[in-house]
Amino acid sequence: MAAFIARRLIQTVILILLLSFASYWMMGLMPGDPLDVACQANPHCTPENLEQMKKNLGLDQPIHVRYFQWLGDLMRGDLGYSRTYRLPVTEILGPRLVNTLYLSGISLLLSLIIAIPLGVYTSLRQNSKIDYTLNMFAFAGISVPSFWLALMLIITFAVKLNWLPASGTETIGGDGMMNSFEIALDRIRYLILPVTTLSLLTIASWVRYTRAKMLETMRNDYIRTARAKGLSESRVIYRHGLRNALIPVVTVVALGFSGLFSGAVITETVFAYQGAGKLIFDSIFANDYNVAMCSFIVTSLCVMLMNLVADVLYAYLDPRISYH
Amino acid sequence: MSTTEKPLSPHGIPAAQETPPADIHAHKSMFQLAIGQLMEHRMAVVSLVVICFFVLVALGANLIANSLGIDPEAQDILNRYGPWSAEHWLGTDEVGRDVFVRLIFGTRISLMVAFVVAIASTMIGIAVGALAGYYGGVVDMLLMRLTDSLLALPTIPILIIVASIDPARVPFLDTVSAENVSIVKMIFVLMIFSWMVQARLVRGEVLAIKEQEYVLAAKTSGMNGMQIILKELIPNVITPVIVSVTLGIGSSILFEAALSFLGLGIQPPTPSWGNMLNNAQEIVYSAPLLAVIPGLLILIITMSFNFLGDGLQDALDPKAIRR
Amino acid sequence: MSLQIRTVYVILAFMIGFGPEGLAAPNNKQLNIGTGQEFDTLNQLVSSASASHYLAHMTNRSLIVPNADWKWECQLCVEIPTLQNGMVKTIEEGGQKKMVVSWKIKPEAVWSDGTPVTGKDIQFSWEVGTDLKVSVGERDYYDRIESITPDPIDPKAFSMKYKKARYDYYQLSSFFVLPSHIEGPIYNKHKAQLGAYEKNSAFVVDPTRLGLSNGPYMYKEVKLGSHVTLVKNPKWYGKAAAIETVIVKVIPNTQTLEANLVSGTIDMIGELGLTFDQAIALDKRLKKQPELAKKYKVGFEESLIYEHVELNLDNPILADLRVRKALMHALDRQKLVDALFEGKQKVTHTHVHPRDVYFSDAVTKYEPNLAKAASLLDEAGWKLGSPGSPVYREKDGKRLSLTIMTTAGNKTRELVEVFIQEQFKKVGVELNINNVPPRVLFGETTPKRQFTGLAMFAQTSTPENPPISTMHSSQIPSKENGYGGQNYGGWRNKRNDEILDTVFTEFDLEKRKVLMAEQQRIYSDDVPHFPLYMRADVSVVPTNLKGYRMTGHLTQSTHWIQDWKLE
Repeated sequence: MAAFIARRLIQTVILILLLSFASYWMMGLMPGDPLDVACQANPHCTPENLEQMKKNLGLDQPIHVRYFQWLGDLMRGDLGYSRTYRLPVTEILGPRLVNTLYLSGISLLLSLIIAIPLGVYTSLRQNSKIDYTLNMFAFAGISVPSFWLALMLIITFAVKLNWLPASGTETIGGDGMMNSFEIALDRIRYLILPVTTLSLLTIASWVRYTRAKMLETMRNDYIRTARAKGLSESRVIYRHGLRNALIPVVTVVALGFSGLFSGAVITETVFAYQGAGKLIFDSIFANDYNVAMCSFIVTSLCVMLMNLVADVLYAYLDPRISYH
Repeated sequence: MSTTEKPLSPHGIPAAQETPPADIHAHKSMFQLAIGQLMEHRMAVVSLVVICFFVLVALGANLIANSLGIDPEAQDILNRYGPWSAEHWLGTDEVGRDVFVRLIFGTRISLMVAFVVAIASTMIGIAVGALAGYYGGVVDMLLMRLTDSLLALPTIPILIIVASIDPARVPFLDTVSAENVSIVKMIFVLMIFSWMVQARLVRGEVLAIKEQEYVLAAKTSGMNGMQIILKELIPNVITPVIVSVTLGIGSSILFEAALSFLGLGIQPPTPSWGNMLNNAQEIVYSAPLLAVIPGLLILIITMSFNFLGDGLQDALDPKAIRR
Repeated sequence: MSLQIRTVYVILAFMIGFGPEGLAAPNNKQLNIGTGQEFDTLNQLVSSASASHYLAHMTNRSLIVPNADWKWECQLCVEIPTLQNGMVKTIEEGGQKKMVVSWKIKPEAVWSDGTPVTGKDIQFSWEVGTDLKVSVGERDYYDRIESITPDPIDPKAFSMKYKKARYDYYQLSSFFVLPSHIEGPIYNKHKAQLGAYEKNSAFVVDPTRLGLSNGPYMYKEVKLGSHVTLVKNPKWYGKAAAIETVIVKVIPNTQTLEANLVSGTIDMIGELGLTFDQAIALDKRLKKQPELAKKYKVGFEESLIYEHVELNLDNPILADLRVRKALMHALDRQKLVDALFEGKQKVTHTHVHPRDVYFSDAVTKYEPNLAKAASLLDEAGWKLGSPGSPVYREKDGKRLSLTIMTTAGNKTRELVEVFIQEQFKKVGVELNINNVPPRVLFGETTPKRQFTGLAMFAQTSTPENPPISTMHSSQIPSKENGYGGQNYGGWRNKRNDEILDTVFTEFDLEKRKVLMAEQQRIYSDDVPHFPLYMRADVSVVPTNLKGYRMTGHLTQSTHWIQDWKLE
């Protein structure tokens, strides 16, 4: 097991290195630069001026030179500066990651709390009215375009009903009058709509997955055996059914958590939420290499580690699998 | 790899090991059985009807437009955001084009893109998955790491690069007429990002069945690897793949809409649901229906494909049949 | 099933219907401004984002700016130096005509920590602005100056020596004045290292520090990518500002921006927010909803942004003047602006704005005339082929087909594109659309002249600014000149070049006007571009906001924020 994990970790590191080069290279392939756009709209930005600015950013260097310079700095623990904001990357990325952690973390937890019981419940009441209704909603949930949903939520709850703020991360200019409880409450108000948008999809797919796995498990021979042995139905369901059905569910949930730091570009954009997803999107568009690469590494590392966790968890939970 | 790692289907879920090999000689009865099963799935049947309806609409788009006497690209700039009327059933859009007819043509484009993407990406997925699963070892490791990498890759830079490709310089694209370039690009982009799940699925299935007697028998009878893959393995993994194609169509429609949201979608004047929705969102407060309707259509059709996929899964799952 | 459908229907009907609208009761205490664009660094000398300039206009003053009437007015300076008042002298040095201009800064002008604004600040800013190790967004402003000498006796006086004697010496609107007592030591410490100053500038590291502002407001809280809170500068020496706190929030999605306005989270949307189409729609909506119209009004201000179609004149089809003229006749631009912009953006016949001093009406105008267009095309050899639909013209078996490019994602331009496409079709010209993201269009397509036919975008200018970089033939980008210059279409006209060469050294305004009138006539005769319309700036403000005026040029409304009042 340990050897397996070690091997996978080494693979991950190599992969990240390769991927980081690929991404850097691809960002370099993107034609144009945001400076071109800014300069075009400004009659006082001359082509020489533009050239000089690009040179100052090192854009005249070949891409691999820039990459290895960046990598060298990274190895020395220097994440560099954001090109757009002229601030250290950590100063920019840190708060964004925290914001995203709130957004994705809450929606994942919420999805977990809602989806798993619902999935189990519907599986036990297969083909009932409630099963159909929930199933219907689950299907709608995985089929709805997220930005459309976000827009509809904003129109309903922010514009028409005026219950919740339309967008943002927190109330600005609260005059410092708020105590920490009020601050938390305020953050929550801003989180409700984006969290709803994000969780709906997760809940929908997890409900369906849990339900399917549960149904599959309940058809197994050992369940029949357990029933035949005369065990009580609840014991059959929870001891034998649920435990076995939840094994694959756990791995799917673990994978769901891999997107914890990736954020959700679309949701974050529509709600103008200051998360990492939007930062990555913006920094890529802004050719802000240091920020984009750093966020990229954090995100892909998270994805790959959670993949590993999912595999290990599976092996741990399912005794039939062994890792030599 | 030296580990006896459990074969992983998408999302890292090990494929069921006890799946019995489907008997290819009993194909017909299987098929009938599956149809029967599918018919039992009410929503799937309804969805199939809905899908057929949309496909018919898409195929008959010209016919419908002609019979209504409306050109989807004809503008009436003096009648922007026109209300619902006998002439314009769903009103007019930002340049006075008929929304109803454009939705019909949008159906055609959106469905076409989705079908092509789902089928093409499945082919890639099957190829990659079968090769990786059958040969194992270095081939497997390389292909699967490629798959993982693509899954973890930031999609946006690639999208921008593809959006900025000059069609005249790409050998294949220069034969495509200019108005269709964005469609071809879109298909290409979606393909790059949608074969991985299929690949993992197929690999998982192949790993599960390649040690079965009939495969071993084929091996001993002197078939080479390619033949075994083509003749023995692929026919036997086709059922989960069909399901995943169906689901893939649904997600391609969503993906197209999302790309349009980021401004990288199919270019005007060609209508697609995604770009119609995107066009409408700017004025969503004054002409909300322009945004609501394409959104609803996307929702309905995607749901239908998902229901159908679900139904097919039930119908084609051998264990479900045993039920 | 039917139940669910009904539920969905009810929810939808509910969403589309009218619910309570947001409540906004702004008073002079606080004004929340929404902006759709992100600001980058607050050091305006370095910044190239207009959103940053929007902020800097509230906190910092320039020597001189064009006002909302497009007249140049002194901000930090006491009076505008001219030849007449003796503050401008032309000299000759090494055969080159140069000029020396004396400036005087207002005696009361101080930084927010009470330090006077002096000639030393100007000199220091120029030093930073010309330093190649600093990435300066608008170096042009600093580069044209050869040296700055503070007056040895009067700290408020200084003189500028310009490299060339040009009439536009006073146009220094974006010459950003840095507080040398704060930025000086920082700059000196970091100047040896490339790009180090801009990362350590107090505007970046400590933007709320006292002494950085010399305008009516100063930063109180800065959260990049989110918002900026501004409060009154206690040491402000000009007309006292009325509004206590100004908060500028960044909301990049335009629909969300509008939702925030209607729900009352923001009170107004500045010039960098709504798209034109959205503003029109909101304007209409206000007319239908009186209770909302009581709160907000949408403002439109014609600006110096010239929307046009650039033509690649190396394309053999477009090289033919008859084809260019025919296409102009085919294009009903009045119909375009009426239908798409409700007349709020006006047709233009040249690149010069009617409000500009150089504007001339004596130009060739191309009225919509399909018959004329058709005969011009026939004359050029482009004949209609066999009947059928759609019918495109052909010559030597080749279809009359052109490609138009513009910035993907810009709704208005995409609409205009579709309109032009439809109009051209009527005279048998096929127009294909190929849009690319802005950075591609402006980073690759136009500067490297990669568009084969038409490219639609805007040229931004400042008042009284002849278009030398966009229309002089020396400015055609090519491999030889390292793709410098912005004459992307490749227009060459000898007389036009001559005019643009001489107009800058002509100090007599009347003579310049004559020259520029001729330039506009040549431009309209030669049709190197298809002029479309002048873009309008749009903003939404609360009805009780008084003293607010959009300018229509790059020196945005916030430069006069001290006049704003909420009543």
